[in-house]
Amino acid sequence: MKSKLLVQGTPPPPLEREFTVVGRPFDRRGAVQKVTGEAKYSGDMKFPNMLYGMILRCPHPRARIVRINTRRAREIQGVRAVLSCENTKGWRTQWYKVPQLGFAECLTHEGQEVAAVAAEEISIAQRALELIEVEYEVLPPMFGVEETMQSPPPPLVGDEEYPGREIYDRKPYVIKKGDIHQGFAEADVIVEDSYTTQASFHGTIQTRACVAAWDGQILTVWDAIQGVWNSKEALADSLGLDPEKVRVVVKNLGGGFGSKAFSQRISFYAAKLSMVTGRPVRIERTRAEEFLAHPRRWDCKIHLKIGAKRDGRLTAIYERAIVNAGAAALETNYYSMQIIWHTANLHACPHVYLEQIGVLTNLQINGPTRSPLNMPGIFALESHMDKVAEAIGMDPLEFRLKNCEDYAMIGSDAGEVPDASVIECKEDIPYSSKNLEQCMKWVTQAIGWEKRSIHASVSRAEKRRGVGMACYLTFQGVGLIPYTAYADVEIRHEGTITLFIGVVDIGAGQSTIFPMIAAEELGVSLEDLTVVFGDTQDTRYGPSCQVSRVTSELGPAVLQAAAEARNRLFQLAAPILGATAEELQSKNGQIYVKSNPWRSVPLKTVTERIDPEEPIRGSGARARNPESPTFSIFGAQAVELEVDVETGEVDILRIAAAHDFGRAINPKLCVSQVQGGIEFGIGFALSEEGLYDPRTGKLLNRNLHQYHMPTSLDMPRIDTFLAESDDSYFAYSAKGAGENTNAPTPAAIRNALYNAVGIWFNELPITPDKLISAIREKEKGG
Amino acid sequence: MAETENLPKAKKRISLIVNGKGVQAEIDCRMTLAEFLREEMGLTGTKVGCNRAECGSCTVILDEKPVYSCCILAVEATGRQVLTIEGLAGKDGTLHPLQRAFVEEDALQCGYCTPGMIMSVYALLGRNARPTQEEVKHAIDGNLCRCGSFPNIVRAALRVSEKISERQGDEE
Amino acid sequence: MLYELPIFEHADATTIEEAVSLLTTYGEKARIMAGGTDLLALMKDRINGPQMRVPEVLINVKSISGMTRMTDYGNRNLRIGCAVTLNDLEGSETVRRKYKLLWEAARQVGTTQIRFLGTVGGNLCQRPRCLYFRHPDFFCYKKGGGVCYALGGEHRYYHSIVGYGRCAMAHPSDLAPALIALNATVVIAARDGEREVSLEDLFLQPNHLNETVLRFDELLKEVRIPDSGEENYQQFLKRRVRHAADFSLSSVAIFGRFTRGAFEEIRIVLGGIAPCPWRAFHAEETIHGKPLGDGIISKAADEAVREAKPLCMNAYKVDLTKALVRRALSSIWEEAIGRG
Repeated sequence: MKSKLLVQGTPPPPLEREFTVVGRPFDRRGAVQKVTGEAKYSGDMKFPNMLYGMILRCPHPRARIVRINTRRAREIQGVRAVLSCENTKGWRTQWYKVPQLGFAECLTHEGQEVAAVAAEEISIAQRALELIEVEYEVLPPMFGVEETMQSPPPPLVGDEEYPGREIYDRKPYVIKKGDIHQGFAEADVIVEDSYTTQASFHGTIQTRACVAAWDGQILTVWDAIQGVWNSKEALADSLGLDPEKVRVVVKNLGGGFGSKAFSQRISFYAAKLSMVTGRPVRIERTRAEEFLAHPRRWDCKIHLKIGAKRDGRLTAIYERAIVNAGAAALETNYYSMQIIWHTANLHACPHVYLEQIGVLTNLQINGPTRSPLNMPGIFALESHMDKVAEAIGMDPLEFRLKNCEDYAMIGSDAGEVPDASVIECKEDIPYSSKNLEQCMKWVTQAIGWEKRSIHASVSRAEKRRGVGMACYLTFQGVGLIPYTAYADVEIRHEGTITLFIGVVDIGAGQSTIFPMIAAEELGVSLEDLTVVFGDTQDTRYGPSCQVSRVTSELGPAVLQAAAEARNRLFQLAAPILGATAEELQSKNGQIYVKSNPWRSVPLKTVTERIDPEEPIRGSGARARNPESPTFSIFGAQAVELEVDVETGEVDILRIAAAHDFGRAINPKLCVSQVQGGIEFGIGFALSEEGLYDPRTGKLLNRNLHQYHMPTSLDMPRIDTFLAESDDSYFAYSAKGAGENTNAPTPAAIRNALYNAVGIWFNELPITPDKLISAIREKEKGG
Repeated sequence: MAETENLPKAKKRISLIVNGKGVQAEIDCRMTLAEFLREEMGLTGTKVGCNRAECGSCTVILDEKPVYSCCILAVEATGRQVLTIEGLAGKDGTLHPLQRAFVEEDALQCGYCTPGMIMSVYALLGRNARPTQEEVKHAIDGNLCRCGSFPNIVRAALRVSEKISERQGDEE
Repeated sequence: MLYELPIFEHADATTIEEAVSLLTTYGEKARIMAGGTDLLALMKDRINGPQMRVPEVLINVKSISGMTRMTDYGNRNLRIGCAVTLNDLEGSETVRRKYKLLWEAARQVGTTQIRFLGTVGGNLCQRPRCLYFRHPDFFCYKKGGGVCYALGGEHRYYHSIVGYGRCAMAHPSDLAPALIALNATVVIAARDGEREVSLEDLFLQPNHLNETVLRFDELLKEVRIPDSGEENYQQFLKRRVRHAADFSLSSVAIFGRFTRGAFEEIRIVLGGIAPCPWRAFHAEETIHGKPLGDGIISKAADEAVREAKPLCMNAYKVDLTKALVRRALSSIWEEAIGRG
């Protein structure tokens, strides 16, 4: 069978033997260092001669600097550098590949950088910030999308800029298919409703810290980011350095979820301060800064109108999604079609007209946040599906199964960088693999789907139970710009085997699963493999770990690199075993003849034949995605909960989750990803939201006490099922897991709430005030 | 005389025991225990995730109590015993059963909340060797984990408590 | 996040007199340091106003031996030093057995680590949770600015539905309603000696910049709970956003003494819904001396919130409080008749 592995050049043939590494629940690499406290994160780094940097931030959502005077700050003993618009004219930083002035005079969001200082001690830096005099002219800011869209965009002042404004602001991006009017004409039932989702934050337990050290030749940055190579290139560009002179290192990352994707703002300020002072500079963000001056999830208003036939077939979907894009929107921090892409693909429908409109405002800056627009989009769609099911009198599970097909309307490449703002879908594109039906059946079975009718009939009790479900697919950033990822494997005379990958382990287990793929392909055990990662030194380009891309992008490259190295080793082994290289196989550290496995030799013996000066190297490079088939991860979750109708307390009793990740390289780590996603989903559904003062637009809850993330007592029992299947485009069929396990959770919770109390909650988060008010309203109504 | 000793001071000498070893230092009174451990002693296993007694990543054991070290003045830790994550493993590097259980149950992902989380569980097992699942969840109600490892953390805690009570049973 | 605390001087007081003397000497520059869970956070954020300067002197009272002690005077009272921690309360057999209200309130405050550090005095003297109060950029009423931003802004969770004035905050303490329901008194240590006042009288009505009557040179020394006697029933209920960590959206503490088929003594105190712990007198009148039943209990619950004038976004607290009062009353009623 020919391999379809997505690599450049000829893909290695599939491994025709049982797996000895892949599929095993090995302990996470690096876990021992983490449980002993030895693991070092960027904020733990301390260097001799290190300076402490701090940033002065604008307290207004939109303002112009009338006057800035840093003289008094500069004069404090121990202050080594003060940067502001006075002395950095024209300097641009780049975050998420969004180019922006390092210190603008006209500021477009609360928390934007106004000045940066580096001092011998942090108290001196604090004092320096206090002595920087800034006079602001406060300008009228744009907040909510509806109000903003009703007035024309304000004329720009001074150097005010909103990156991406010309491309995305207030412009509809459309996916359409068939004839929407015909679709509604054919419908027996049409259901229309609106949904609102909130601004939410990553809440990584680590706050960003960065140490930048310029030694006159090389800039080394110990950072807290999800992609060392993207950061390296961006820093080089911003600081006018040859990329070869920039090294970015991330050994451990305290949570990413998109917050630390690509390159991040404080890295630039730390690097600049280091270049100016010639000393290492550390900048660490406070928790308030994490909330304030950091990309967050866009709030959305989504209107859906769906038509269906009585037999359950969808005939038409109209969607209008308005996204609060914040103060900057380019492809890497705003996804112009991500909501509508999911609506187009999750359920089959012949006629769709879906539009998504981003509106730039002064409400902070936005960026990828675990399932960025997937979770809001899936929330709206999957909530609406339940409403349509009820309108035609069909069971919600049956309704979804009825509209589950093996093809997509629009592939994943198209949604990322659209050439046009209207995409008309003509041909359906098959999926490489799709196991969504199995997922839906498993979770509903596990949760006890038949309980729904019992729960719905209980209307008098103080505590009512409900069961609900939702499904999802993933806009997976497979094969994104720059459409490649590299891996290298090296085998040395001493017998050491090393895998080089330029990616970061963001906690999702990258440093475990890639060695597992390599070890399997090489036929060695996991302990025999060393991995170099999280460092631009000695590795080649690897993508930033975000948009669920890494396993699917790097996996094939790793497999190819390992296969190539192995084959070169087989060339050396062949004469020992009296066979040709093609007749050989390897497993458990032994190389043997396929047709006669007793003829074998340990790998270690063969490596002795490697020239000490010329280790064996294998390389792998990811190929661009084909136009067909298209790829996605799928899954479903079902929730059982109990609501106290008087106090509005929601107890989630149990969640059953089934996910189609292709195959799980390490099932233990996959299950952890599912549990992690559910934590995010529960918070988004019930308690997390950014709270803004309605008059000034300032962020009010800039701490973990007022931004309510789930605690241990908010987490339910979780039963996870992995719906595994083959997908030969990916390394050992591993499509990836990671990110989007939170996408269906809020809709499943909301649908379960309907089952419990008969109220459609269309606005997230479903907090106690909303629950209690809605229940009282319903009771009064009759 | 007692009164002058108790006059307010901006710097004080402290003497405490950290992970079994005596430590003396003269420090600013504004220094929190977390800052003392991390900056003065280089014990960076204890993390500071919020500095506001909200996230739990700074949890250490102070005289057998799990506390937010970001919220304790180092000067008020004088004369007391502090146990941090670095103090759990054996001198030869053998992992404490709790640490081993966390690894095997995958009770961590990014690892940033982990030191504080382990200390909270350790403190629980010190006051209740056979906790129920609910009791474990209550004991870690002050430790946030954004990676969502809670189910595995609870499993790891229960596994270790079973082992401890088995061993105690054997001894009885 | 290093060194977010401002520079200050620190003293370990060994006696109450010493603490008072230091407070008097340093005046508004000094504050009492007990658990520090609220104080240090406010200092790190530099929240300040005319009657709440960022302190330059912290006086540790945990070093005063009486302050961390609980003494049971049997049939007279239980005396709790104000530096006794919430965890100490939870672990006390006496508190659990005789003062269930206090026990339930204490064990549900915050998180495990908070309870090991937080003290009785700190809980009673804590500042509002209002987002504007806690934000350094908003110069709100309590910080001397004369404006309550919450009224036209964000006020869903931690603001009042009754009794508010120019400031709309709600007092966040759970211990206060529980202790008031238990008829507790507090001992205040001052320059001219000590005085004992009922706990209710510790709290100020709105429109003050502080929440308690304590002057800058006074401190809370002790809480005293009179022996509750026989045949008493206590229930504490609260509701918050998550299942841990958060402050109450509404809390209810009810104490009733049951004789001859009715509650001859009843105290219903509400928390989280008024600028100070709120005695629901009308509800108490409805209950007092009458044999109960669902009808009377419902009526009492209605009476408990009769005067409520919620803000535009916290009306749900009226329903919530009513529900908690009703449940707590039902619970003690059932317990009383179950025994009787």
